Amino acid sequence: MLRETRGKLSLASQVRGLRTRATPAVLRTSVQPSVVEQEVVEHTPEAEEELTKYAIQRVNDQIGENKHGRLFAVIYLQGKQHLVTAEDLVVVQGPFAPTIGDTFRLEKILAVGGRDFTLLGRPLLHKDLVNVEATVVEKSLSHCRIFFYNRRRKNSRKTKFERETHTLLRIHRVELLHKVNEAPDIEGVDGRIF
Amino acid sequence: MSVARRVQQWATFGRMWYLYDARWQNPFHSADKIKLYLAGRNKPIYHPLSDCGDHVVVINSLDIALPGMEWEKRILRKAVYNKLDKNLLRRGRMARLHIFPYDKVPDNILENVSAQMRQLRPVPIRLDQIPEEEVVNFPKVYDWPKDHVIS
Amino acid sequence: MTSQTWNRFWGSTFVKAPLQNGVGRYVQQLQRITFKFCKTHGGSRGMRDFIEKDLIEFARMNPGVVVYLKPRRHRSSCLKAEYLNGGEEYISAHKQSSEEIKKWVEYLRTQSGYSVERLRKYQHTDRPSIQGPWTPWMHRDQCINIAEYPQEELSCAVKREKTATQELLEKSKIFVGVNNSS
Repeated sequence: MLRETRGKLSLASQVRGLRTRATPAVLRTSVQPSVVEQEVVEHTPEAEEELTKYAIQRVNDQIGENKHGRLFAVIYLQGKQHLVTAEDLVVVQGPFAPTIGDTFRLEKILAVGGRDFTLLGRPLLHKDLVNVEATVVEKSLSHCRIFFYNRRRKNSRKTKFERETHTLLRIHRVELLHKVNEAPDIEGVDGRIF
Repeated sequence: MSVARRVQQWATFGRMWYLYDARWQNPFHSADKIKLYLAGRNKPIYHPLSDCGDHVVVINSLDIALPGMEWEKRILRKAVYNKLDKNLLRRGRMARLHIFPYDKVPDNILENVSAQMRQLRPVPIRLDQIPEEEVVNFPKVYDWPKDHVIS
Repeated sequence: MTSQTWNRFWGSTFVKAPLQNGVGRYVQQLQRITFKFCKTHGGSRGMRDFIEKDLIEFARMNPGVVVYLKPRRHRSSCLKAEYLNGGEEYISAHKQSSEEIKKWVEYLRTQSGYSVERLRKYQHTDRPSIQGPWTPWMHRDQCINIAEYPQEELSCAVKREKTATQELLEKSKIFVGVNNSS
């Protein structure tokens, strides 16, 4: 990283002075950095609304053409939050009913995002919008943890051994089911058996 | 490592230079805030094993507001030093703290400054520095009694 | 001896699953389970009970698992499991009841064949970032790019509520405005 010992040089001059093995020719020739002009754009309420509509339109375009690429999701599982994407491994600590080979759907999704956008739930996203599925790959016990209690000079000591259940989940699917703001006619019946 | 990855590394771990105006601020509460930036705890990438702290340039350190009789005991630098984690990184983190008594900062430091930290409390205006126009136009809330003597 | 000393000898590992198991399909990892027991001694009684009562059901429910029975004269009983990735696990079942053995068989059935070690992280991902790594300029107000420092507007504390003086001044303004209009 940048050397801090050269106190008298500016940050820009330090960066320029750094030597790397594969410095591109472009960087070497541009001794004087060109001045980049920037300005701050102020937002009015109308412009904000326009911008919101435009952003939602862009997100919907990506979902419609399936161009959003890999999605990530923040899942809420057994009181803990995990940021996962497809093909991730997650360990659930403590008692958990599903056994190996079981595939189930995670319904508490706090957020979903792609390369260019993030959809945040308040606090949860709707079940019809997101589908995150997981498979139980392994169910085993943790390593043996030792709890050793000793009271000095009181001739009392106690040792406990504990192994809790570890369930290894493979997230195998994170997908968006419909566009933003375009919910299907009947809501909340997805995955329900009549 | 490719050029793009190397630049990404520089961008993520690049040191920021923060400016902090200590005018009318409690140095001990300020130290609580400054120590987070010196240790890098304000960043989501923080890890105790990675050296990701920022620089903090404190100006107007002569104008700090000390509670009670504290002005006899401690100063801002010592307050930050006491608040930092007590480990081998403490001296290195202190080296990233630059304190100046007035708002004059050398140019080579000022041109590195890329962001400013917010003060903890609003700066009050001294009574003798309130503009004349505001004093004259201030609304009259009640009348003095006739026998009241203003010396 | 602290728990950290124990961990040093036991070792530690990261979360892993053999052969990308669970991506696309799931394959059971247990391949063979061997029950070793004595036909006469009391230490194998629980094991003999388990074989009489539950073993047929276990074999029927797990058609992919080879079940071996190995009677040995005057030796204590044990379980041995062999997995698809070459891993093995041995559990002594000496003097255990059939319920205890049932639990250990279930434990061996759901394992993946890696030895049990302390986990350093409880999650594993091959794609650590989708929107790109964090930088100090992410989600910052863009006005700091061209700001001149020091700037009072960026430095002042966040104002939460109005002071009494400000309230008074505002109310007096309204009062004056009403008087002028009437």
